[in-house]
Amino acid sequence: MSVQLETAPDALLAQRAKDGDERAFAVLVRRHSPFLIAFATRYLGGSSDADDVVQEALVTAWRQLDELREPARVRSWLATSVARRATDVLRTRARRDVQPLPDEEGPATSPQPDAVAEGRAATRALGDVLAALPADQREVWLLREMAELSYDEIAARLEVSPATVRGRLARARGAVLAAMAEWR
Amino acid sequence: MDDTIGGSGRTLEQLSAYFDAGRSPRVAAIEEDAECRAMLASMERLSRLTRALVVEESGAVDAGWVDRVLAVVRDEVRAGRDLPLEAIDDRTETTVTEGALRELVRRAGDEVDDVLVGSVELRIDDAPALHVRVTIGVRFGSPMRARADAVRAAIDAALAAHAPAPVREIDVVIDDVFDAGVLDA
Repeated sequence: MSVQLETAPDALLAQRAKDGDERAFAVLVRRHSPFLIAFATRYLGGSSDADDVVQEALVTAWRQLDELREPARVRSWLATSVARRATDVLRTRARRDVQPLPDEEGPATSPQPDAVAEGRAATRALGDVLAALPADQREVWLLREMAELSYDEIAARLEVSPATVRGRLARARGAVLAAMAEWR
Repeated sequence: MDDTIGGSGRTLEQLSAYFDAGRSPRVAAIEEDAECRAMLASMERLSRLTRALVVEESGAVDAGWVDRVLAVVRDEVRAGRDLPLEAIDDRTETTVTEGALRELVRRAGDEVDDVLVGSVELRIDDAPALHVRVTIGVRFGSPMRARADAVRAAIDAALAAHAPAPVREIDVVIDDVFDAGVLDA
């Protein structure tokens, strides 16, 4: 029996995509787009631009697949491409002095009794805390905790030193830990 | 920011970097301090909570959007080099792109049970003769040696009719064993 491409591991699909196999790239796009759009939405501070940012980032990634060094980490690599494009959008916005759209989620409601609702309330609380972080701290948090990049990779993406990344991430952690104290 | 945590003599920044290093190599001054351990456990919980947040916020993606992305990708075929096919006469030249040849190799290998082809490397030496190196993934529990041999034979047969030069060697490297679903026959 042939093996379905849809069930293949990321590393294999990424290798094929590097060789120009658009079917393998399509599987990666379908598999990781929900994550990438969620990541872009957070990165942009809750925005309707996320779909466009991810679309452009994926097309750019397809053109630059030769630069993918670790096929098994293709998801992080795609997230880096999304972050790069999102940063451009944020810069353009800053120049135009346009306010980002408000987060679509409402304010956190009081926790409901069952465990699932409690879990959801915790993630919602975290989402609110992340949205309220200073932009430079939120950025490193998302690149580290969501995109799972290393300090060196984050430093390269942001064009700062790894020491700066380490400091910002520690400040972000301190702020999030303090704000989430009641959820511990 | 420079306050140290518990009796460890370590700052939050040092603890945060230690956490990201996977708590390795082990630092006794941190691991033996209750306050540090509690802080590391909180960082771990926040990481888990972030992953849960990602799952919650990763909603279904509009199929039309995916199709639009893939349509752009399809318009930008990365075909690779043109490889000249053996000339039938002096007046005509026929070439095959590296991309087309790779696709041929992939399809041949994919036809083998429990196998998916990963990367395909093609090299033409001065002879000229073609050297092929493919990596494959094999489904867990499948006989690896037999599958690799079958892949080599399938690629050899597929290239016989289409290769730009005689096939000198076909290396098959198994670099992945996966537990994947199969296509219903």
